[in-house]
Amino acid sequence: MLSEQRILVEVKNLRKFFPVRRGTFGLTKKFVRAVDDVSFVIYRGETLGLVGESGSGKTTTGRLLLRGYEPTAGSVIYHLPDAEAMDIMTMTKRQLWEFRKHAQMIFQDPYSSLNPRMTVRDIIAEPLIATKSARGEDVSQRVIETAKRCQLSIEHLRRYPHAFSGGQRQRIGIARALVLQPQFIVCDEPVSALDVSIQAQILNLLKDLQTEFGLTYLFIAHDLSVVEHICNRVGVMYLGNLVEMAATEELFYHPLHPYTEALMSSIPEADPKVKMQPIKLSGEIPSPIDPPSGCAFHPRCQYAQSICAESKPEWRELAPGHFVACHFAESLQLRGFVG
Amino acid sequence: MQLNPDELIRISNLKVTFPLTEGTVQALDGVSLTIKKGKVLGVVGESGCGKSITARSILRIIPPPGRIDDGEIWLRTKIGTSNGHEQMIDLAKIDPNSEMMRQIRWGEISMVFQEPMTSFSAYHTLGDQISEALLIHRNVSRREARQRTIEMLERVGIPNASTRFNQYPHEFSGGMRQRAMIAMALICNPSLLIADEPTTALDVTIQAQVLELMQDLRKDFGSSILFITHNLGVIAQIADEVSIMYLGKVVEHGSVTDIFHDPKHPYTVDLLSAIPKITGQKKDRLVAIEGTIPSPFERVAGCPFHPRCSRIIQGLCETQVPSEIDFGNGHTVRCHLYSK
Repeated sequence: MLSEQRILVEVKNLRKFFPVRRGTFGLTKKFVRAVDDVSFVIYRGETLGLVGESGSGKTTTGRLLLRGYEPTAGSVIYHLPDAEAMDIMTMTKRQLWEFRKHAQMIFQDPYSSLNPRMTVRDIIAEPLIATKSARGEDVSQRVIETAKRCQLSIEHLRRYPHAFSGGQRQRIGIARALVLQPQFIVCDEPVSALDVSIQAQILNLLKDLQTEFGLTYLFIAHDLSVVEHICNRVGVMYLGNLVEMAATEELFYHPLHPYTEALMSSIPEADPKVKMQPIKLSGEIPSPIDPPSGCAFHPRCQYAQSICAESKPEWRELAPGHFVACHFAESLQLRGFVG
Repeated sequence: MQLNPDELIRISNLKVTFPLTEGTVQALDGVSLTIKKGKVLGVVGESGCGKSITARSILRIIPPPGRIDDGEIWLRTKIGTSNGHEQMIDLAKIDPNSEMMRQIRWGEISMVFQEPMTSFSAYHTLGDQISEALLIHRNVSRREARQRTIEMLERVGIPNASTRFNQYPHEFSGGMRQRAMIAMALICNPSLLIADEPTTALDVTIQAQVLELMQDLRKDFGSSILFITHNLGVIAQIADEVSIMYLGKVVEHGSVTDIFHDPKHPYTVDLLSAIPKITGQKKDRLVAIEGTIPSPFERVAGCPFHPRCSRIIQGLCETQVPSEIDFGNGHTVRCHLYSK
């Protein structure tokens, strides 16, 4: 575990509803409850993982943390070293520009997140220029340093993104996030689009950079073995809610939420001698437009009782650092990852 | 060519090229592999290794301008014989637009594609699309085709199958659509099911269910499966035998236990150590394979893996193509480390 647990990001009751039109001629206005009341903290220097099925709200949460979306409700408070606590949700545009030096993002798809009409040098330099962090020679100097640190060579800087493979493009994306020397980086599925051998290179690079610069990551992914490899703590999302959050080992081997149990049982282990015994979830992930009453997971949960449909379980700390939202978390005996 | 009694398909020395304006891409450079009756052959490789082209060559649906230059694809089939006897035909030699090939597609060999979102027609109901295969390949009435389609939809775990029969693909979720795709692939009871990354687009819980379903169906229908993926975890769970491909060649082949517990080729060894393993302990760095996959327009001389190989033998691997070495029990590898 981390030696000192100093909070970097504090997320309180975060909500994001997207309006959609439904019904005849789109007259009925409804909302997709993408993130529905989520609270957690991220400690300095750690990697917090966020996992869940597609549509569970993990990417939306990641973007909200940088105010990439305007939230429906809630606050995201940053406790930067040598600065006062600040809530980015109440910042003015100008303050937000200033703030973005401290928090950056790496995107999933290295093919669509780089402007094809800019050279690699311009892509990496843009954050510096946009935030007026450097000018003239200094820009070139910092671009070159950062590119080198991400294992790109100087000749690469004159080229355009199309000349690069997926892994190298992801290095460009990482260099762009890193050039401002931020404290915090949201990594949204940074290795999902990459081949196995390249994925290992990028994971190693992210780890090295973290050690070197003392970075804090929010790591969003659906590949649970990648998450187990890189994260100190992991949060599990389901239909816009956090259902469980704990230290990685604790979450994988001693899950407290039935959904986490189902996820752990579905990991295909790369060993033919360990046959997985997946817990079958009945049905499909429901629509976030009309989420089920009570606990959002209850229609698919094998342990569900009548109370689960009636009231929403409280998000509570059951053991030190182990949070869960399930009515029966105290009594259930759940199976962790078997490997 | 005679196939052994337990073999369904044998591909030998298959070469496929794509003559493009920028240059010629050698997509398959002498691929040999065998699919046994009722078994699952897993083909693993990174992007550009030719795993999908291998699958498409069997069905003769290589996208133009790709063409088979050399090699054989022998299939054991009853199609084309009148008395129900089996015959061996070389799929590489017959016309892709011939009546014979049309009968083999879906009648004998069917395919599940990666993208459950785009592999159905949006303008026809799912039931119509699935039963169409029966109407074409099996001599059945419309009523019977509908009945059998509904049974198959139920078999793959789609609830309310008779209502679902009349719905359009957009009304299905990703997981349900992939189940429907599998139902369509199995409706004519094919002897070979080709599954090209069938679970890549799915969430992990749905993936586990689809894998389980494919295992069950294989037992019930006795079909062989050619399972293509880059996910080694999935392969370990589903395959009986595994072929590892790199740059258009099979570099190692063996039983799933041999490949995962006694890998020989440096590429296989590196691939296995590059995937994160869940251990519950503090992690070191992963063993990354240096370098990147070369551009498809480059022809790598000698062993295709030598520019990235950590155990390269200087003066040999760059020039000589390694020949196949047999470790017994069907475990073969193409690497100079093991040649005498």
